[in-house]
Amino acid sequence: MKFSIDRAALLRSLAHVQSVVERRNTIPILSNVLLKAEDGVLTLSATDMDMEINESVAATVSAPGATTAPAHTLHDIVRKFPDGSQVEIALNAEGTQMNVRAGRSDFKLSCLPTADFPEITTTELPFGFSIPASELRALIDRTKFAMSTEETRYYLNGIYVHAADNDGVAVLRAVATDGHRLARFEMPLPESAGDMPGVIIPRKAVGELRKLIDEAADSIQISLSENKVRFSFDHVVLTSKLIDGTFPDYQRVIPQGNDKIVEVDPKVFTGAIDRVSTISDGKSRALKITLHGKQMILSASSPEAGSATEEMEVNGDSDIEIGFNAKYLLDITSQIEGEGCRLTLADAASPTIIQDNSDPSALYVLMPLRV
Amino acid sequence: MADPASKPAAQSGSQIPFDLGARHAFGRGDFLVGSSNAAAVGWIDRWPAWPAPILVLQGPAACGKSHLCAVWQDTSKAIFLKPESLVKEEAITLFEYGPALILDGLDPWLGDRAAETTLFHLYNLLREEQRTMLITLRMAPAHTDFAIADLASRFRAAPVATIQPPDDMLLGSILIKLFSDRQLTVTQDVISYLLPRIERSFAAARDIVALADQMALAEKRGISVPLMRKVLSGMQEE
Repeated sequence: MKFSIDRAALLRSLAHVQSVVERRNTIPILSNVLLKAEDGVLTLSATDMDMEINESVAATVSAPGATTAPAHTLHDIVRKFPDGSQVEIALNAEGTQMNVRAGRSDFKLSCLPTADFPEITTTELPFGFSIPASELRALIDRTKFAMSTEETRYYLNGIYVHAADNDGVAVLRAVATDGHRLARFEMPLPESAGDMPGVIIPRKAVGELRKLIDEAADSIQISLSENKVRFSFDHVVLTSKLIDGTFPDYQRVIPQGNDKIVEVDPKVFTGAIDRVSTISDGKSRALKITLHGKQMILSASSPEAGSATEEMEVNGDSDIEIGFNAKYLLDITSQIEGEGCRLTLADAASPTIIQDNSDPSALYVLMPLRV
Repeated sequence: MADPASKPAAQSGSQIPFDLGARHAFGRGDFLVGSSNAAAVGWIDRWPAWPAPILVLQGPAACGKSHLCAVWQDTSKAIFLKPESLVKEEAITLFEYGPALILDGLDPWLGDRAAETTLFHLYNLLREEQRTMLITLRMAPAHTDFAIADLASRFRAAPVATIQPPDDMLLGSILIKLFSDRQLTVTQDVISYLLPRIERSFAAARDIVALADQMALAEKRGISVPLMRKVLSGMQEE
């Protein structure tokens, strides 16, 4: 195998695939990226056994072939080559060592045989549809912060995506929750997505996908089965196992009867939360909100740090005192891009709904702290 | 049961979690059989060779009566009747709902003359057409005050499948199953810690698992012995 490639193109693809590779691996081959050069195309593949990525990039191939090399090391090497340089990669005759050269730099990397590399599965994925990259970005951005990171709650460690009905309108809905807050995003149901099973896309796949589609301009093809999902766009294919669990009946935690409605300027609200919570104590980041007619008072206190209050004007007419984790509130208000943010409350022990006045596609539910 | 979230983690500033509920596995293979409930399972398996139109399944709260109803429904294709329908609908209407019937949780309606009248007629229809109905009760018919003497005699003559309090082995398995219904895995350490420390009842197992789930969710922790210690101490403070 021998090929040369523009450093920027190689770095971009390596950055994508090496991200899937775990830093610590007990199985050496999983630390490697599979490189295949033929017909003017270099294909890079990596896997952590739960997720696999394939990316193709144009290269000048003088001798076709394939090998596997340490993904992170190769990425670091290429990253440190000067911008604009041409990278030449050649495998020795024994297939045990790969020569990586650019300018006056010359690296020799140990390789492992391609036969050891886990076979990239080609399971049939019977459900398929496509959605615009911008919609997929919004779907992830509006929900991913609410995913659980608690490993024993494996069924909450991802985004639940399913076809749903919202007052007679077919929608593709994404939901994430960590048991304290919930984020729900929906968009018009893409053509031929109606039959898709509800799936939980794992947190790592969500993170990788989000990075990858930052640069995607067009639509993303999504293929699904009961246990796998594949995202294809440009020259990238990301396939991931799905979480083998049952997402809870999230509808039961979205309150229907909350009757105290308050509207705030999200920027002013976010600023006030951020300032007052500087004083918040401990892990719970407790922040108290006192509503009295058109006045909202945010307050926090800590035996060590002192106390803080800030008043702001709101549009509403409710009297209530309720506590929230300030970080959770900030996570939600930072998603609100419109001019108005609506809080729909019931009482100090019940979930509160938070929405962007100008964007009905996203809905957030936040459980309070005991005050 | 009281709101589990309000019990052990009720200190100020603590996070209230969502009540995400549980999906109880109600299949035949999910029903755990031990010496305390083997006789009841035997009656269910014996259907349709029941000696009377009704079988009374009697046992304490959360002992698996509804689960056994679901198991029987699977084989008999029975229809669940809401007990309150006894005061809302005619016996013949209820009778025609399905080839076999289930009345789960009848206790509050025994003693109610209107409900018992409908039930008495329904019993007679079942007997005439040689159909069957499964009825669950917490109290044994022998200790229940009926409003209609004829209905009382029919209940007391009917076979009663009683579920007894669980032994340690069954209770341990039930705890594992209840955690599993909430998609939580537990180690044997947790079960061994709990068994000598909780009331030996199905309801206690159900409540402790619900509380542990809520506390673990609130504190973003897994189910462990220290967590169970905290749950139990919270319950004792109540």
